[in-house]
Amino acid sequence: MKSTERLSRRKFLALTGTVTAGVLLAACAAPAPAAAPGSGGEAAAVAVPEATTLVAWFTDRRTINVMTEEEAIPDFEASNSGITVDMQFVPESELQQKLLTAKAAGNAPDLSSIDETFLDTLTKQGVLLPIPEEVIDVKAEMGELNAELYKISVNNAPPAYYGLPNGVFSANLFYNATLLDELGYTPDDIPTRWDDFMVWASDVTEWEGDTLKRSGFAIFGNEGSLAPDVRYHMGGPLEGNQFATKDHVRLADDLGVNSWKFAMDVYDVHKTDSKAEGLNSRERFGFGNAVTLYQWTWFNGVMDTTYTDIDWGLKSPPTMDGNPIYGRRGPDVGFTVTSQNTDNLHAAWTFWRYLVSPAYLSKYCKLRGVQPSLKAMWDDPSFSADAGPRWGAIAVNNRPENTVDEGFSPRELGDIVGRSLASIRDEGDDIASVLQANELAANEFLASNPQWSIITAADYEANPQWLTSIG
Amino acid sequence: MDADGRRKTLIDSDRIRKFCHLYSKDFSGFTCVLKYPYISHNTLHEFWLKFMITENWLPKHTTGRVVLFLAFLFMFGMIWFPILEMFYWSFFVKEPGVFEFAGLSNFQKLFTNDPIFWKSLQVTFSFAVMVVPGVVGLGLLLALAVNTIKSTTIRGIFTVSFFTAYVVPLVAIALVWRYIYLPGKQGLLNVIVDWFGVNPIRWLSTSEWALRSLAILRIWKEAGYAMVLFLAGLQAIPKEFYEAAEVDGANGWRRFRHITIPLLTPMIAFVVVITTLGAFLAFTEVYVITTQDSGGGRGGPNFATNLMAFHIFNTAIAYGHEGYGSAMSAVFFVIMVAVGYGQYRFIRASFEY
Repeated sequence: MKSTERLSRRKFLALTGTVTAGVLLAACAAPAPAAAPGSGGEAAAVAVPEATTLVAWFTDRRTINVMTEEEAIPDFEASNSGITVDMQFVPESELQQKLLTAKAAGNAPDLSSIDETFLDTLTKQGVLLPIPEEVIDVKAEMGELNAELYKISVNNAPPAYYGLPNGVFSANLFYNATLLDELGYTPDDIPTRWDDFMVWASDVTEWEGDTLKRSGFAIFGNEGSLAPDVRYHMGGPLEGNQFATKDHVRLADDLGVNSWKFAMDVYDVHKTDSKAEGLNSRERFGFGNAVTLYQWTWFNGVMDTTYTDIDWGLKSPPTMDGNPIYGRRGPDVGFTVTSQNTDNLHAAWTFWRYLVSPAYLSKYCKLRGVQPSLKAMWDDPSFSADAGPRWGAIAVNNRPENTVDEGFSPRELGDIVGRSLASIRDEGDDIASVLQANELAANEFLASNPQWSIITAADYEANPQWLTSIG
Repeated sequence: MDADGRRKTLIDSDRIRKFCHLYSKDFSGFTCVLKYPYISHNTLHEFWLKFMITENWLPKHTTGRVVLFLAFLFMFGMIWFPILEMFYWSFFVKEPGVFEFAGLSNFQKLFTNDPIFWKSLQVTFSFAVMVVPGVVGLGLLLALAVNTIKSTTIRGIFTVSFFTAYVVPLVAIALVWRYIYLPGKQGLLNVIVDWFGVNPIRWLSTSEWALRSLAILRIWKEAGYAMVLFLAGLQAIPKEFYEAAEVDGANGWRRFRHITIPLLTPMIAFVVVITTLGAFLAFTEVYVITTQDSGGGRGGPNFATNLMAFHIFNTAIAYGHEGYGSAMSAVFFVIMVAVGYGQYRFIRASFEY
């Protein structure tokens, strides 16, 4: 009996200790390196298996996903026998983490649509594969600015492209054609200068006591877009750029303070919208209670699919003198290849190229409200200034000479800058003080995290052609 | 005291002596602490030696030992290993493409140069101070009310109704609550306060009300669970106590104070501790209810709803500062353990029978 007890205790402890140590070692072991991405040439040389199934992650943009699933993928599969695409949906807020987790587990999707705010992180984490030169000539197909901006060098590797913009978009003035008609106006009657516009918008606004019945110019929730654009209206393409250099943002200068004051005057002076009610301006417009709305054009797809009762159109936003610069434009990034299966690489790049082609982007860009990045589509009549009331203004706005591309910044910087809104609009804090505090925090961030993806005033000074139609 | 002035503790010294003799052969470097009939008063040594006498706790049957081993493995792998790894990472700069040893610099930054962390801690404590009394008070009130219902069926209907709020996922009802909290006259709550002549409140858009709004939501959600627990506790109290007290002339309040509360104290302690921990770990309310559209932005306005769990998520996951986020988590972990332990000891000391 005693020897049995002795053996059991000893064996038990020895076994526990051994297994625990084994678990520890296994958990601390470095993950297996991801399959090395082949260059375009190598991928082409790899024998394509009989049938390849690609897993493609798309973020939760209902309008685009329905089109992709019902039209685009069947078209692609019909033209590329042997390749099938398994489309899976991932909420955008979870995409970055899911991609990182999937990569660590060795089962990353073959392709994934990402947001531009993820591009830097995912590239550094080795999730995204570099785009082979054989697949796309970025400079020839997307222009010099994109070729310069999206070339990334990670961990001392040669610079390469990991994600590209499908297109660019900007803020436009949405108008409710039915309400305009009822009020006796046409879209052409909408003033193009801010001072005239605010008078007109006040005239068409209707209040019932403290309740806003009809907004003449709805901006609630979009003040953070309006203020930086008004900064351009006031300061021009160089001074208006809030990023002076890649490690310095200017929020609290006179232009910054005045542009925020302009936005707050919409509520406090002109009273064309209400901040007390807290009703989001997009909803107010979608429910038919706003004559005009200041909004980025990704809202086009939502209007077409959700608020189908509204007869709406687009106009370029007012400016101080009625002429461009209309404000900022920003990229819509984009599709990436993330495959860890070398057998799938050829098929993955084939599908990627389809997604970045006129065949797909002609549908995608319409739903997304972006002006295509591919030069081959710039002369497409359906994306021209004559493409009707729901597109013409987009084509005009997104010309290099009419808006300024500031590039994009990571979420953390956006959150720092975005703190201004709640303080100024909801808390009623002093505009200059708020902007100074946030400028300090933003510059602290930039000092330790200079952003390659931001296009600054200094960049435009060095490359003035980027502000012209040639760029 | 022994000859060396150490306090003596007799713990079955014969068996321990045999153990030390046995194990000193098999583990090199293992020092047998038992040189004397009595060992020194050292809690860790006592625990270790008691632990090593495995017949005290090790199941005698092989199946039991295997199950215990698997449970130990699970506990280590799923609970202790992540915690240890969190402490490990807190000494590193761990960001996309960067993983290097940073020593104490994360903690230095945390304690000297991160006002948002301390603001979040203060917000979290404020949130817990609002939620815990609300959940306990409302839960107890509901339990007392439901306990008076004699019909089992009716009591069951009320119990299920109040408990439903707890089981419904917060994400599912978030949209409803965002409309309840609309700042203008459209919001349901503002319609109600308007009946009492109060002006519309901007529930989620002002620092003053944003955290209170989340606290109201949490109390609404958790009170049903507390009610169920208290109801079980109330029904376990023997009716004879109340009858005897009634015979002695005790009124309702005295019966509640001298019978119900003391006998319900263990349950109250449990509810307080789990509600506090839950409040400290609250995340979904901030993530789902507070958005840019609702006025404040996530965690806002001005960090008024920036609860610690959300702040750590933002820092480590959204922004990618995993090392710094781990340092925050480590400090918060220690604080939570201290708070939970303190609560438990304080309430346990108040047991009355």
